[in-house]
Amino acid sequence: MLKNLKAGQQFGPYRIAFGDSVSDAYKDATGDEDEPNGFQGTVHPLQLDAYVLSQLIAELGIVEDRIETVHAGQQMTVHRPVSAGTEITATALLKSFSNRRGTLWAIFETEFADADGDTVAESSSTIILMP
Amino acid sequence: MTTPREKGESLNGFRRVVTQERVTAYAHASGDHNPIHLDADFASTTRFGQRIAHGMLSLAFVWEMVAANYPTAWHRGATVKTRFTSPVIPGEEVEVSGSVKRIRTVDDREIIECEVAVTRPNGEKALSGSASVPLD
Repeated sequence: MLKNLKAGQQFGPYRIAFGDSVSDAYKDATGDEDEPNGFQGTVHPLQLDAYVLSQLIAELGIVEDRIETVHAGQQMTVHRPVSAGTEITATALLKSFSNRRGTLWAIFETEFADADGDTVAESSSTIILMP
Repeated sequence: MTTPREKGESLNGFRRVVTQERVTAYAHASGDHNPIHLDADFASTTRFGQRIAHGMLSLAFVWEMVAANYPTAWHRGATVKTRFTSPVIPGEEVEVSGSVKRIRTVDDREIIECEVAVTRPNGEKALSGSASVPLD
């Protein structure tokens, strides 16, 4: 899969709808039960991004082929909160893909939109692959 | 909790222990089952020599801090931008921190720009970057 990657390639769309239990599992894994995390009633914004990253990782065969990776950077902008159960569609674009001394640098840009097509969040992920 | 909005003011941060149990729970919750986080044998063959926590787990802490400090603003155009600079090893307690670096006004909207970081027990930054939060 990696050798066929090209900048401009699109991934998804990924249909996302985290129910209460899935949303709570993410907040439980990241949070502290003794402190309010500020996300009551809404999905942790990074859960959306994490879901798409996991899909990309699967599609690229990173886990299956046991390719060593480094997550170098991440940017996310949240335009509105997402309630548990809300349907979100995410589309990812391989913005750039380059070979630097044998390591592969991939930058993905992802847009998250609600059922009306309005953007609720945007993100950028920089992943280094060492096949 | 008051909203930090003066240059130099610290965000209310926190410390959190990143246990392997938390890392495993994060893998299940996020769907990221990369063996570098879960498989000790595989991780021993990598440049890190042992399992490491997901960078996104540390970043989730930063978003949590931003949301707690700016509860009415984080979902109205806030941006968090970070570089992952050092892996968190399961068992470590990390410090999640931030401070206001400057305030600017765009289209009559005040934007708070913060420096944010997650720091390991040895003082190395696991991640560092910025958070930009438009206020009402």
